[in-house]
Amino acid sequence: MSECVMEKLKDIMTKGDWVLIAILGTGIVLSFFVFRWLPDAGRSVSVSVEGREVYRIALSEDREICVRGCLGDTRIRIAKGKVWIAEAPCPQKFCRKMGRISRSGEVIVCVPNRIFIRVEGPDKRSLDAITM
Amino acid sequence: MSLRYVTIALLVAIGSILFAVENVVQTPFPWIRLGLANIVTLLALQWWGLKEALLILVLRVLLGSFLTGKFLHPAFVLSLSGGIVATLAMHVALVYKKRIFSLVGVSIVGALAKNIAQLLVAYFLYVKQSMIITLLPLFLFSTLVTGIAVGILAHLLNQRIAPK
Repeated sequence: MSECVMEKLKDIMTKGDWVLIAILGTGIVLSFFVFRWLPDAGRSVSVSVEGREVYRIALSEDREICVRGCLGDTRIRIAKGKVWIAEAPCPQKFCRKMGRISRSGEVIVCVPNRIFIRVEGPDKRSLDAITM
Repeated sequence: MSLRYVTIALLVAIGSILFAVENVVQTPFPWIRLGLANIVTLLALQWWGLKEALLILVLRVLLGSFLTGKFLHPAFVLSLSGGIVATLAMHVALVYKKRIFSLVGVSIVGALAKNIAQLLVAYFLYVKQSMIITLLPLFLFSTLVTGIAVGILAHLLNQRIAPK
């Protein structure tokens, strides 16, 4: 089956196509490497409980912290440049479902437990989403 | 001549529907789209030429934006500017030294031009931030995959329904 598809592709495509695809492919691989090496701006994580900041940690640091909110302890984990809520006492666990954040300006909120996590850094207004 | 107008109208209709349907289909990343509507532009370029292709493009983007309720929305501006640049680039790729590229290659050129144009427009009009450039590898990759897929589809369609 796949051989048949390849045969058909050979019929359809010209040499120019293959050259174009090869050039683009190399460009993609190269650009992935280039963007890997871009400096990781010194971002930090700010954790607040009822409006008061209780922690400020560099995002590059791998650690786990325990924060006491009004319902109980929320465990927050920072690893591989991302922050997320590992365990929460709140009933619906929306904060855990908010996933892992890493870009500055992104937030995780746990309303029942009054916990607010925010990534801060030099690029204050980074993109949330792009749609077309 | 009137057959041509009817065919153009049909292509506009097909293009708008493809555009609207694609808005509904979920992709893992919201900014990556298949670009199925590009098939219509490819066929128009192949059958007639730049003038007809641009006409179809503008009409289908307008109609498509009415269908999805995004007239004059940023998405509309991006679609229109990206589409026009893509059409021009594909015209050049198709006409310049005939047969260097098949429809597959032309489609890749179009997708590439469209993505770059949209990134630039998005950068200058909406999100003046160099961070947007870091999306480039992802864009290029999606360009390659969707460009090939759309090109093959257009080729198969061209074989079957090309008007005399």
